[in-house]
Amino acid sequence: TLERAPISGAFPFRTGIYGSMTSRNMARAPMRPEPIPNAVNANPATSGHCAGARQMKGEISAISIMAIASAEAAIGSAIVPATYRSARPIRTDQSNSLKR
Amino acid sequence: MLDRAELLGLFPEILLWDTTLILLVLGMMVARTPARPAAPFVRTVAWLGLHCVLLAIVLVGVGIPITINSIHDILLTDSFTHCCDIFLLVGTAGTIMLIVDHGGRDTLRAFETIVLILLSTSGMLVLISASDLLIMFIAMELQTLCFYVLAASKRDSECSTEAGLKYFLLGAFSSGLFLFGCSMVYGSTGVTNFEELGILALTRSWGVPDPSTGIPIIGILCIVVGFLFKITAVPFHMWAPDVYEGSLTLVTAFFSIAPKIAIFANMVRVLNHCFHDHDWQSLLFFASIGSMILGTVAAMAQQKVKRFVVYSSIGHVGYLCIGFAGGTTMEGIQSLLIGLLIYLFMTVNVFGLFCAVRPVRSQYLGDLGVFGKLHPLFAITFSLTMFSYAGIPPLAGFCSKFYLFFGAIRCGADVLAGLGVVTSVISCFYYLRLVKLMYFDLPGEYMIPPRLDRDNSIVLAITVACITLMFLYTSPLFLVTHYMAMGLFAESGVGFSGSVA
Repeated sequence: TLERAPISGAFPFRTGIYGSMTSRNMARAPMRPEPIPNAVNANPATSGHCAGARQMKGEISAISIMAIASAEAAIGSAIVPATYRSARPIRTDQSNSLKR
Repeated sequence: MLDRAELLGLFPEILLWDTTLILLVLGMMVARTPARPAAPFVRTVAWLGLHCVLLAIVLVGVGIPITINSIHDILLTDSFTHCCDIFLLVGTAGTIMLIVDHGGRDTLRAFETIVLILLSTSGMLVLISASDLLIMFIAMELQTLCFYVLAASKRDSECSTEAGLKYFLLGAFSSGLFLFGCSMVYGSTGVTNFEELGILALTRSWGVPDPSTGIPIIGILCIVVGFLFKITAVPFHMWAPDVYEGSLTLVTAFFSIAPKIAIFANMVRVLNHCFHDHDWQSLLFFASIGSMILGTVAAMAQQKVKRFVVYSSIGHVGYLCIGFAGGTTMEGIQSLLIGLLIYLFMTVNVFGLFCAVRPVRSQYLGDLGVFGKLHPLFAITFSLTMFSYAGIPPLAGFCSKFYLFFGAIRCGADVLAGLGVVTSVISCFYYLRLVKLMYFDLPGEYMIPPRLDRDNSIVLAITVACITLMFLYTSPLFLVTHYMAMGLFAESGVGFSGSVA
């Protein structure tokens, strides 16, 4: 049935939201929001088969979203060593150099 | 496939993409050492980038703004996108002009900054023309990913890399939320094109209980929340002060100017065409109220220059969101576009002034006291800009606020207009306090203010001229924004005279 796709996509979505809110380790922090685009992919990938069946809009959306999510993960993972090189905070709640 | 008419709509983007690639390859080839090209080379790249943007302005400006549906309707180019492209490219050109003169002072060591700015500008141009949910997301991600790197671009500064990391974490979260909204909308309707969504929005019912009819509210709300994150409106503004303060001043200038134009333009198109007159209105109502209040109250307590500008721009975003208050009326959209253009000039001016004083390392507001005595032209320019931000009459800021509040009253949103007036009065305090600091206070330590460079002076002169003269001669402003709003409403065949629910 069609309603299972958003529901099963909601579980990794919730995991990603929880993870990106509570990550305390700086090296893990950029990887925590990764389940979110994965979960979101579930919707167009299944709906593309059913509703907009003239063009494969859903499947192509899923591939594009995957590409962008991986680019985002790469950039996040590249920012972390730059932070580590200049200021060595391992925990995210220790990065307070911008506090007023 | 692509025919010539479709490529016409893409010329500025193609120019920027090609320039980005050429400059990147040029940088790779010319770099003296693998890690650090020489500063004059950075300046050369910056000038080439600036010429590219100016050429793009000319290309867009002389093009005939016909309506083109490109590439199977995923991009829509009409008079609205035409003028928004020009605004965006003018803002980018202003920012790059502020960057080019710093090559001599060796503070911008990586030519990649210019390349990233051009790439994100091309993403923003595609975002303005986007007519499809997926293309909107891809363009927005192109812009945002470049911004993450730009925020962290000063790699030996603790503040800058921390700003980049914070921006990345919150931006990834908000992009995910935005994408969730897009996928909900696509999943329930099967269409991603804005025009088709607009037709669906009118002809179907909006019920949530039966998911097979209508677009789910959660989808629309997630998309609007994603937009509010990007324009730093209030419940979602938390990342802005840290990120804007930690980045380089030049990069903060670009952050404050360019994405607001692109994302407001895209918001107008999405909310006007697709999700016409529905529950996003109350969310934008509260975001506007919150942004105005928070921007006013928080800016009063700031001691540092850049955080002050961030909070004042959050307040300004609140005023701009008033334009969405009455649903999607033409006066509201027109006043929003007027406010956006005037905000562009004021912000370029403020950042031009701050970029000029950056070498003397003045970070705090109290350091401004030097300029009133030693650099009177700077002080006059700054004062005019502060008066314009505060909304004092003979300047352009008054014009923008007046039309925004007028549009709100016409739609019946008296609360917004009243609150806007009250917060404007309160904001006069801290804007005029800067003028007082400059003229009447003794600075903590005396320093010799630097000479303004030629390019910086040109930018400041043009923007101050616009700020002072725009109130006296407002007809170009009104003609342009009316033309844009007409273009926006004319090509959508759906009804557009909404009212406050």
